[in-house]
Amino acid sequence: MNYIYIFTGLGVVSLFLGLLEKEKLIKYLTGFVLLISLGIIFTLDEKGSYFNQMLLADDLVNPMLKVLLFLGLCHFILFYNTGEEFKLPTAEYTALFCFILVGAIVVTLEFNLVMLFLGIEIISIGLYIIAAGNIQDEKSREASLKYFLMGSFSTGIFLLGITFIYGVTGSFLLSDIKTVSSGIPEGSSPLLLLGTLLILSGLAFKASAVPFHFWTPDVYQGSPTHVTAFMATLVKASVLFAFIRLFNQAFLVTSQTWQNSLWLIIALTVTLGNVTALYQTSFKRMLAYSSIAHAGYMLMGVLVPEDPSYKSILFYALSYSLASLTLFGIYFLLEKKGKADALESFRGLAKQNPELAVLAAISLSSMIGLPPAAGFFAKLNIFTQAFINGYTLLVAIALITSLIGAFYYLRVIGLMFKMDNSVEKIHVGLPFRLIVWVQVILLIVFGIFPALIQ
Amino acid sequence: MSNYIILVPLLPLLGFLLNVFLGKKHFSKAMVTTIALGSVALAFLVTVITFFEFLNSGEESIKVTYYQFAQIGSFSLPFSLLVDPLSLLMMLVVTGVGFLIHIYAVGYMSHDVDYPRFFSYLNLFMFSMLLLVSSANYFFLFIGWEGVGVSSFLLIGFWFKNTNFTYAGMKAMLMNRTGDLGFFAGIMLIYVVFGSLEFDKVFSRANDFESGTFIITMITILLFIGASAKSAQIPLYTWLPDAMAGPTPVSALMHAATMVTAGIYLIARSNILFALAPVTLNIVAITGLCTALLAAFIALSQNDIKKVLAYSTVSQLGYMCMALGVTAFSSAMFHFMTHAFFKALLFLCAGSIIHAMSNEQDVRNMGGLKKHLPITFLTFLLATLAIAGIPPLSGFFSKDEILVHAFEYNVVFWGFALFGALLTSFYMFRLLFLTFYGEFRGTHEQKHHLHESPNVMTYPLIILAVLSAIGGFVGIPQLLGGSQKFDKFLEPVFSKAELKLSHLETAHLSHATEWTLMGVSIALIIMSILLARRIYFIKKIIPVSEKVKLSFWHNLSYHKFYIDELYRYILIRPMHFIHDFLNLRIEAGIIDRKVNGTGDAVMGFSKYLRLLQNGKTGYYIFGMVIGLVVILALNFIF
Amino acid sequence: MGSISINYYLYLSSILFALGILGVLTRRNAIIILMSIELMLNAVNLLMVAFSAFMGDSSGQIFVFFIMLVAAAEVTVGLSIVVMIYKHNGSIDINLIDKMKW
Repeated sequence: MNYIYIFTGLGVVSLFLGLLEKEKLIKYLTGFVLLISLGIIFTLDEKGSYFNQMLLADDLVNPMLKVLLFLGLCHFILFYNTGEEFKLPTAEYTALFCFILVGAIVVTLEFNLVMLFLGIEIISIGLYIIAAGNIQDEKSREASLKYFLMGSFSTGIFLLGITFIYGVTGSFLLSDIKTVSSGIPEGSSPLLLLGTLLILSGLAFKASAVPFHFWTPDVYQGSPTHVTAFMATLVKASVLFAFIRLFNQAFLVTSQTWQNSLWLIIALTVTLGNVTALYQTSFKRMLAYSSIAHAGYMLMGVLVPEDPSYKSILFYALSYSLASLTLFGIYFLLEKKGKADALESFRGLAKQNPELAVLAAISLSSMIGLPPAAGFFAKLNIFTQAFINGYTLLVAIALITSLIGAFYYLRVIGLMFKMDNSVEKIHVGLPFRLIVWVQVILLIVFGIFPALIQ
Repeated sequence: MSNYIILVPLLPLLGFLLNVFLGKKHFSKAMVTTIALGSVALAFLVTVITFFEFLNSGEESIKVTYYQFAQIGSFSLPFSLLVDPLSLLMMLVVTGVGFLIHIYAVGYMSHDVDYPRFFSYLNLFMFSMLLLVSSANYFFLFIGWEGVGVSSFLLIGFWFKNTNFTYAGMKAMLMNRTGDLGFFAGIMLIYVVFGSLEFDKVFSRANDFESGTFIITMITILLFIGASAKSAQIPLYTWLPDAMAGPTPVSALMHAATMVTAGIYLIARSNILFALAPVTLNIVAITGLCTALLAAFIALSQNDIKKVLAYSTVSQLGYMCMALGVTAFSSAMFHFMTHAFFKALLFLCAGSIIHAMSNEQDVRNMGGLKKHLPITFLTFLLATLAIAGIPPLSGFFSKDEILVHAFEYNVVFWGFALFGALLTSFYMFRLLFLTFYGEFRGTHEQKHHLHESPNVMTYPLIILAVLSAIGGFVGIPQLLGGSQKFDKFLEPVFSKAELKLSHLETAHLSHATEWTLMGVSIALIIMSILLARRIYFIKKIIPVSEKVKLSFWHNLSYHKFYIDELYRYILIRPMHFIHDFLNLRIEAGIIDRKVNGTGDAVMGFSKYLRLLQNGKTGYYIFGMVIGLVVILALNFIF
Repeated sequence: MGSISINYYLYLSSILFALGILGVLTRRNAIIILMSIELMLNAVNLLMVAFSAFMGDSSGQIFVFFIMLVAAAEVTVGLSIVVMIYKHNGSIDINLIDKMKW
């Protein structure tokens, strides 16, 4: 809860400082606050509930908060010098990132549909704004508009679902929902079913699941790279957390109702995500489709109604986010060199920048799911859980599409190591280097000690 | 201290990482050396301390679990190391002898440009080997197993500019791989049958099985396949002689003392499984014996000093194998230890000689080196006496034990084993005489260059010589009034197996028989030494050059029984043929079409699929609505 | 609240909601789409209040405040985005905004 205060405060302060044109101070302050918060969360667990159980911090929450803050810190360090190039100066970016982070924290802490709604909206509205970070770039504006229109639309559907649930259970509190719905016999309440499905659809939009994924390629491609990075990692993680909270806790008892639909969604998601990515020439778009597929894999964890599933999703989200951040970070550097948004910018990277190439290669192999990178264990966990619970066909589909998906990752790796003379040596700043190395090392470390993520 | 056992494999790993990443550019040679040697020395120290603690504690075995490596459903895989007599023995030998060889290598490789790379690979090897022997479950043993395979490949082909050497490395790798297949299959079966890969669990559950159970026999055969590849038994031994392409310290470390004993270790560790499979034991014993004999026979006529030693190693491994097969487990381990001492010593001496002879390895060009390389000569002599089995050197005790057990098993067996021992002493002394005695047969420049090796190389020689001499005293049999400390030490490891086998126990030999056997073997060995002396020293017969035609048996031995050629004929040629056939007809024709077709289909699918995303928002929202409607409909119709 | 059963509210809301969806789907003018979304949100508000009243639980009505709050914020942002588009593209016809495709 404190974190909400801290980051809201930080956001507001940034805005003021921006007014006073103290850009540097903003950066240092943000970094400082992030570090402190990270330190606190690792030493002091959050416990307790606020506002009459609207926000609840229990054991599920703390690891998630740690992950969020850590990712936030990484993201900040990676991209902290973005302000100058883009139209939105540092203050606004920082403030918006803080607010979005607050939204993510709210989503993590929520135990009440109202809070969930609020958190999601805070995230979304913040994202609508910064998606248009490059005002000059028409793609960016387009991304913002599309995201906004489709986002609001899905919010409407989400809300309708909440309303139906409320109508049936009489409360917004997740535990109450659970209690009441367990008392309702199967199939006797179409309203409950409808509500659940609508909420599922609304959230699926945020998580880029098929058939609600249409915004993802365009928005990811159009937004400025660091914004996309934020979307693909933090936001996705929070949304999936919302899924866990909702579907593994509140809606657990009504699982018959939504499991089949989720099954279908997952199958479509992993297929479409991986297959469409094959033909992309734009790196960000490719990563967008890839994130669709990964969302699908993470959703597989939601199907399994048990505690371990939560850990496996979290682990997957973490490893995916680390790899993503690294890739976006590296791509960000390439972009600055003036190449268009294309896969081709990776060509010959290894020749002049072997360090970057290796880092990217490791991240890519984590995304494919190759040992000893963490991605392998993440996938293994999720697939095994699903398999144990009888979703054999789904696991088969996931495996096949994962295999198909390996191709486009490998293509990038191949491009990088072609010894063509393409990109000149990029000078990488120290903080960037540091954080990227940390990320990659973590990827490997988690690959070797997968049980560490508890 | 047992809890720190992880340091033993970990320190060399650190050494490897430091040297491989920073060694070339950032470290001075002294730094590289310190890291490489220091890590091994520290590992040795830790092992020694743990060893003494262990002896005092009176425990049978201590398992230290560090963390849970993976936990998927009910499959749990902890990373744990085992401190027990067997693993301690292996660790002591590996770190101790390894350390001595490291010291030697400092001198041997001092002129080499790739000095840091060499030592980083050595450390990598140490790490893998130590992981292999200290692991408490089959999984990490396998990881270490693979690790030594990789290190072996890297080190054999170290001077990679010479393609022959890299081929040798590849050959080693391929043969190892073949064995690994069997090993891996064995591991999987173990999991299926016993539900775990942890040694303690597997072995305690094994107790409930009947002897001769089919599945256990399968498991042991598969494990033996893996072991025989690593430990160079028939038919997977031909890589070892070729592995001599690597620098001599490598040959000493891996192909004499440690890596090749991994297979022996595997079987010894899994003793209870083997005890339940008498069929496999027989196979192991016979294979061991045949290998021992075959290799000894080939060694008789080899002219390359390292090749002789290589075949000698194969032969001695055969003895260890045979010992395992006749259920003399601790004898096998005893011989492992003594062999490590004298074989490493022999190789290091060979290195010394080669170094002195400006990289000459053919003994026909040597001779009379006694004067010029006194320390090398003395230590070599000692090692040769040890390997021949002359008391009171270490080799005598270990070999004698094996022969005794062989006799208990089967008299004919013993006969052949003894014959092999005679061959061993013969070819070793042949080597000695040809190299050190007589007139120098090399070129003028070589003579000029002859010098004893520097101290850094001779000190390890001396230490190893001492060990070869006194190392046997830990295993003096009761016969001679000894206390058999060695056997007692290893007893806990093998006790359960011994119990299982007790029904097979043949009567213990009477002391008289033992004395007789001992006397007979010593006498015959001395005779073979004298024979060698007669031929090579007194009569000064020198092996002839390639061109001269040889007698049939000589030919057979010299050309290694044409086994390599045989392999080429029956395995490689048909393989090429099948490969061509499959490649052209089936692969290109059918499978490629299917696979590429699938790939193209998917790409085509992708091409069209992405048109789904046409950029128009309204269309997107429409898609969403359709999706929603479908989901709702599906739910309400069913 | 006794005389009109909850069903009627349900029907009304659903129709309004559907109308909103229809509007979003069929219209090309971004602002009209925005209005249709608002319509959807208001339909939800209506239903929420109805449920709240029928169950005698006021949390529904509180939530409506939240929804309105968020809707307001959303509209603010949305309209500014639309204005931005208009300024740079000269039109707010969403069918013309399709530079990113496939």
